[in-house]
Amino acid sequence: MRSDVTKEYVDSVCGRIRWKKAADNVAKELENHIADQKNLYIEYGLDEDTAERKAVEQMGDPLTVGDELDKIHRPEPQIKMAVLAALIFLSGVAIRAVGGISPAEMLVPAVIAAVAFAAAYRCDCQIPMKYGRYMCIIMIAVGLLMMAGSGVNGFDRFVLTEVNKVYSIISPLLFSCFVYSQRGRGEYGIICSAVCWIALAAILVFITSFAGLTAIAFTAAIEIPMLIKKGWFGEEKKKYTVLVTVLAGIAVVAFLLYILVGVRSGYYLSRIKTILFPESEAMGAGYVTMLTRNIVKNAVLIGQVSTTGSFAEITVPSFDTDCFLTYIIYRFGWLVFAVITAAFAVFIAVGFYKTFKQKSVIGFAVCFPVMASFTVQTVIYTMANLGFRVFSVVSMPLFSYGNTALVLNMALIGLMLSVFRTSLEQRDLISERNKMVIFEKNRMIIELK
Amino acid sequence: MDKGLITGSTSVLILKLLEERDMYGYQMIETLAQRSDNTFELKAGTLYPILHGFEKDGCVESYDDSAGSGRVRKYYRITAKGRKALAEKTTEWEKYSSAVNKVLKGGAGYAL
Repeated sequence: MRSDVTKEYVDSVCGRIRWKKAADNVAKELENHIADQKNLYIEYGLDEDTAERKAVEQMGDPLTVGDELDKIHRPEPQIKMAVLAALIFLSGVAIRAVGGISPAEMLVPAVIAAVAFAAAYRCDCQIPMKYGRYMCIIMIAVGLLMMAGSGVNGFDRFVLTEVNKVYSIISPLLFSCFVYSQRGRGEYGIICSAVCWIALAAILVFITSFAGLTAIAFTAAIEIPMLIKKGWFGEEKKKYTVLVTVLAGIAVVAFLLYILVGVRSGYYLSRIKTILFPESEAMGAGYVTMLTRNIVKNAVLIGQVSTTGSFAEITVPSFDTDCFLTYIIYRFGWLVFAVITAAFAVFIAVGFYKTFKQKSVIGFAVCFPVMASFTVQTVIYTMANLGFRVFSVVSMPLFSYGNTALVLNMALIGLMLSVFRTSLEQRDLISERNKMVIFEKNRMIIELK
Repeated sequence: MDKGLITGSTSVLILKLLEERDMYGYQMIETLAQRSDNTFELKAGTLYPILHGFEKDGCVESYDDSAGSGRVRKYYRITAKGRKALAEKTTEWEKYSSAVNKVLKGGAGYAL
């Protein structure tokens, strides 16, 4: 607890620092420094009040110190990435306008998405990470209820499609929030994280969101080993690595068994056949794939595919949603497609580069799942639109039509850019638990306060 | 002691301390004072802007660690970029001090 003398000094310094997050971090550091100096003076024989006053005098003029710190502590606006995201979105609107869809139709979702982005950009990422595990548990409970209730009243196709998008896009971040909350919990934390992953994976398989499943698998595959290496769960890193490897192996085997011999194996096996041999279902499930491949095969560098012969009066199905890139290849040629995919490639490259530069675990734990979700959506969508339809597409983030996906992706990107903006001041707080009993390395530590 | 001399060398001294081991701010001030026989009595208000500037430039990075009794201390460690900066500043200092010594030892005649 701060006394008045220390509080007055620290408040004077931090009052000059305009960025509040930085001011809070600086305050803690200065308080610790004053406490250390005060303790030394007490050891020298001074009484507590005198020791504290002398310690504060040693700190220097608070206004000068505050001004110097204010010059250094400024957030780093992520203007370039925000502009790139906006350009990707606007180019999608423009191309859809050429295709006959009025930009006015996108106005309301665009405004909502912009508000979601702005709110997330200004958000302190500590908040979603602090409450994210509860949100994760709630989403898992809702998903499991959905699974239990299916077949009783049936599901409206629209609702299931939107639910698919929500879970596909945010599951990686929810999982990451849960894992982040397992700090210092050793094997117990890893097993709880595995249970969380299995529950989310089961929901995603149930709603046939293999894109979402790929995203959370990618997130877990990179994030868990990284957190083990950083000692997030505890110090017994080899043991945790073995445990995670065993759990991952069990998950892979269980998934393969479910696909190949489970209750819906017939459906999945026919889907695999369509993916590998779409020509065998050319007038059925493979129709869109075959059409896409024909368009891609006949596309030109600039301009529309020739509309003679078998392409007379062709229309690209779902051209503004699931087949938007195919439409672009068909209508404008490879050059425009290349420019658009290059924009996405730059966004992904810069996003991952900045994500892996994060010094704090919280920064990485927020940014990586966002980039994982964005990248998986982009790759699956691009592959499908080039004629390799492995999984059902979710969206081309920010680009293809889809209000729910647009708002969610913009919110996640806003959150990620918020982390990039404030990365220097992100802290993984280590001692916020007020537990008297702590379990560490098979010992029970009792700390009376 | 001329304050200008101290100011110019403070940043290289801080990096040098961190090259040896990770430290927190108060520890740096105490270590510097002890090693220099109290010649360098750095105020916290001078140290922290330098440290935070180094952190922003990537020459040092910080992490939190428990200081006991529920307190958390911010430790600093030097990065590869910081080691490189230290090497450059050390070279500059050696050139500068060597040049000064030559002039002082040689006297006015030597300088001509």
